[in-house]
Amino acid sequence: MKASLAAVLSDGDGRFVAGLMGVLVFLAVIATAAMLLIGGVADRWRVELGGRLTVQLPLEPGIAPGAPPATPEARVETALALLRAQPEVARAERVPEARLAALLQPWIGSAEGLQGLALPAVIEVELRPDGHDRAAGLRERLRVDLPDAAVDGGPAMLMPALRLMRGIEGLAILVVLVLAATLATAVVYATRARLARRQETVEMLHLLGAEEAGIVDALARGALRTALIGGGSGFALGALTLLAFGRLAAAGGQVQDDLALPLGAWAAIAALPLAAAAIAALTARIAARRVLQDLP
Amino acid sequence: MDRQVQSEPVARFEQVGLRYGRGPEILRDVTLELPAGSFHFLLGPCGAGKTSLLRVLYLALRPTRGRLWLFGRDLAAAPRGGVAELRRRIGIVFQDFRLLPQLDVYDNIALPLRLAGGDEEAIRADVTPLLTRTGLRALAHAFPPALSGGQQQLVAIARALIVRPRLLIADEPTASVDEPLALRLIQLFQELNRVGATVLIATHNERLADRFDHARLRLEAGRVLHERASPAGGPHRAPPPAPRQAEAVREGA
Repeated sequence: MKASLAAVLSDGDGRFVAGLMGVLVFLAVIATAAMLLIGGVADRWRVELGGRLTVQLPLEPGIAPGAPPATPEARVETALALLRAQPEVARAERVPEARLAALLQPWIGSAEGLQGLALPAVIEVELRPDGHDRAAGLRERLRVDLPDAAVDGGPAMLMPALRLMRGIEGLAILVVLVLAATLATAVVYATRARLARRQETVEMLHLLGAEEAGIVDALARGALRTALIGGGSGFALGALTLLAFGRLAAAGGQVQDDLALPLGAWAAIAALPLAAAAIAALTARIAARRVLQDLP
Repeated sequence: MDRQVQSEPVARFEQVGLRYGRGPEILRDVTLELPAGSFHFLLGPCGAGKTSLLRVLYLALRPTRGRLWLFGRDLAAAPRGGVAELRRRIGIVFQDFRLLPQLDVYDNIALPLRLAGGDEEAIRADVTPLLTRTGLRALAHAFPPALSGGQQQLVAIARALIVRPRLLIADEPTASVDEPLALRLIQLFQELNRVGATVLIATHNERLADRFDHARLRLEAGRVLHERASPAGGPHRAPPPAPRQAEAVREGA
């Protein structure tokens, strides 16, 4: 048997350290994925839902006091022209009556029930991306120009939900940071403990004339290897869990899109075991240098 | 005798003092020289400071005062990176053996050669005959925890001899073996000495030292007394004992 310096300095509880790192990396992978997913969903909601308004315009003249006398179609055209002239508006279209009826039917119960109802004209308004922040001003202007219209949706309406999403995202970030700190601390302590158990061997090798750089390299390589095995296992388990979760959500259509991690997110998650391994190697290097510096 | 004491000392202590922390001085004003090719016994009662002196000599401790030259180099001025090379010229037999339990007998003995970057073929060519000479061949793949005290002592000695050190330092190397094997071990050290190594053996066994005609240093209360100068030559008085196998080594002791 050839005993390399790394083999001489290896220890029997590498499996425990690797297992511990595996669990921590697994948790960090899940928490990071959750954080990224929540952030992505919140962003999509803000862009896709926060960028839309719904304007309901009563078609019966005289319903709203002070409304100008006009035919219903003329009032809709006037409203559409007014909306399309706003700088924040990218598109404004009337929702066809048939679609409106289809939307309402589940609530009313039957098509007959819809007859005789004074349905308003509904106009869907899509805001320009740079117009989201000015949506409140637009709503104010519409209140003046279309006093009998009801305006729904837009960032203001979504704000409570988005605030909740942001809160959850912040919590997920906090969890990831705590896990990352725990992972880093565990790696540091496990590496130091490993070195402490090998201190006599290190001293012995030192007395036998081993080069300090060789001892430091061997310890750092051992720590790196253990961390890569543990962290890699944790990452693999975490990735499998996320993929399984993705498949479970596959039946959900839009939900599936919301829960799909982009490539960048996978790269960030894959960086976790690598970062853990780098911390382990660096800690081993620093701790080994300290031990050797204390030796004559 | 083919031993030739050369002019430049392998080690030179000048007014060396040593204390552990804030405790009393363990070594006081130690001034001595170990000429190249010399053979010394370091005698003294337990607690006299023999192990501490050896630890300073094999660079496990730095003196708290005084100066130390090793192989002509002033240790106070030697760069840290160069000390490892000096250590590789020294063979050490520790009082507590300090074998690596995770390595078998062969690998323990081969370790200093591997640290020096030797290739496996050359290492095998060196280790195998030494295993035979020390009677450890049958135990080559045994691990230290499975060995008796005497067998561990032999492995520790073989590990020190394997590098053909220029300076051999042995701390109570015969403490765990019976008298005939103790004589055999001293004979091994003498063989190394004959081919040029400087040897310093610490022992409290004065009867054993009396059987050999080598120079003596005596440590008393941390001070070194030169009892007898290094002789110019002359055979040791003890006849070489018959070779023994390691299995016969008395356990513990």
